[in-house]
Amino acid sequence: MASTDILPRRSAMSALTANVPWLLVPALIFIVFVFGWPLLYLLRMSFNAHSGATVFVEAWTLENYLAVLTEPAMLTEIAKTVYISLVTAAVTVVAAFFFAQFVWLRDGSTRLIFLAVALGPMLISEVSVIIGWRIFFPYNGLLSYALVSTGLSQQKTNLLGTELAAVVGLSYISVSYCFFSILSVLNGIDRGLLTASADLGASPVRTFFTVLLPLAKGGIAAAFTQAFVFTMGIYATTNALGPDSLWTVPYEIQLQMLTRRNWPMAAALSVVLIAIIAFAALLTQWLRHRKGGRHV
Amino acid sequence: MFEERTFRYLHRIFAALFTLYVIVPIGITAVMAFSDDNVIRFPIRGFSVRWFGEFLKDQQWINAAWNSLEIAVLTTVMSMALALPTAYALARSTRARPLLQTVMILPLFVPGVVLGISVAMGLGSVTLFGTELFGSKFLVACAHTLWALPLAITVLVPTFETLDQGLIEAAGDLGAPPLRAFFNVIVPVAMTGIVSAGLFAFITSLNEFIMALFLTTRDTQTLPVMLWLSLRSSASPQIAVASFVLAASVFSTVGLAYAWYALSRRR
Repeated sequence: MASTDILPRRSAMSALTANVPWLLVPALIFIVFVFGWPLLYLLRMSFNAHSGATVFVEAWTLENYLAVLTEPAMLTEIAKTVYISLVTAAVTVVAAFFFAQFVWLRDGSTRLIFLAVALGPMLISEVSVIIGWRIFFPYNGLLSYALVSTGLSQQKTNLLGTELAAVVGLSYISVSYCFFSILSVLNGIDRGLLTASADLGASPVRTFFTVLLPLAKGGIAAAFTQAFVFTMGIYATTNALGPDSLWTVPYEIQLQMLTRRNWPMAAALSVVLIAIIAFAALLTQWLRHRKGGRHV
Repeated sequence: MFEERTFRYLHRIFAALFTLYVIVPIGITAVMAFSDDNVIRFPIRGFSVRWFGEFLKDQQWINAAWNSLEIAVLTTVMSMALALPTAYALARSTRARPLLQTVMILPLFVPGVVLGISVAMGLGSVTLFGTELFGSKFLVACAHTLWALPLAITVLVPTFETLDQGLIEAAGDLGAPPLRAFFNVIVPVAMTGIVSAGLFAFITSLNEFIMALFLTTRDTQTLPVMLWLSLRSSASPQIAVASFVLAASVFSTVGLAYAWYALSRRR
């Protein structure tokens, strides 16, 4: 770029904009100190040893990783984290897709109202979401009351502490993000294609699977990865709404850090968690580029 | 055509259910906050503002709410101070942009629990100007900025990209020094983007509680952290009141920003 600057610069301002990268320096310093350094420290910590008396003992050992990757209890936790994240991502993407499709087909103020609805979950704190569902799901909650008073159920029911409640709560957290990434892809599709397909005699189901879905593929994949990555890192919702047996990796990290005071183990678990998330993200990236990335 | 009408009908039902799904957790909390009962349960036996009174009388809740506000303001200031020059530079440079933008966005994809413990481990023992960093509001704001900064940059880069380059050059030609040109020419034009970026930063910090959980002490606890910690011990509608206060402050901030936007567009 610098070599093409043969023409004289028009002013000091233009000269400034030509070599702006120094404007990035403050943010880069911040990222290095508050993000880079702590993550490196975490990586180093994961090779330390732990003794009962202190939070860590300086060492170079693979013991923590060995424990995380071989102990059956830990492997079960990893499997459960991946399982609940996959289920949540699938449910969230389906819900977000149909709602995005609904909004996409509307104009004017109706569209604005539904956009506001879709934005809602993004504005509410995870803890408020948890509290809301904890009023909704239990024995004395709204759901149970509604079912009994409408005669749909004979006795009170408790759904708090089930996988259903966990998925409902978890999907609430990433649904807005999924919605907007799917909507942005849908907005790039000509709505007339659906009419054309119908005019040519295709049934709505056929139009959906052969026209709309292939065109929106890229957005759906991005949304799925997003939901999966987000859910992998959550433990509060899973723990507060799901069954006690649903111990996830983030919950174990928190437990090792705060309760067991075993920093090296918490660090090793974090590194493994990040590795799984990075693997999932890179896998999607690779899959998207392999298919030519036309719709992305 | 009957078939298509059925599908349209089903789609409407689905949209209604989805809307209900979005409203339920927050609506139910708002209703429960006004319950007169001693415990959270349905049917609600009577309505009063009794638990709001209890909330306002409790020094620990009020303290937590103030901490949240302070940290959120600090996060907004810090992330905007860093995001404005960064986004401006990113919008203009083409060479290193993909790499640099990825680096800046990266913290957004790291789970809060991992960021929380790594900041607590890596910076928790640091003493800055004689004050311990651990448990300070500044450190929590730094951690929150890790999420607020990428969001602000994501909002600001497109804003600066659509800016008319001629405007900046004109300001320079008329003799405005760079900083003055930025604040007098660019900022007013990009105001909508700047306000939304600040809004994102503020809300992110106000709502976040996992990182804050690892970085706060009893004195610097934020409102959502205290909500999380009292989740299992408290069965009274007071927790609904606190949750309602948190959500209401977010929505009123958004409302204020929207009112500003509507007013500035009318003018």
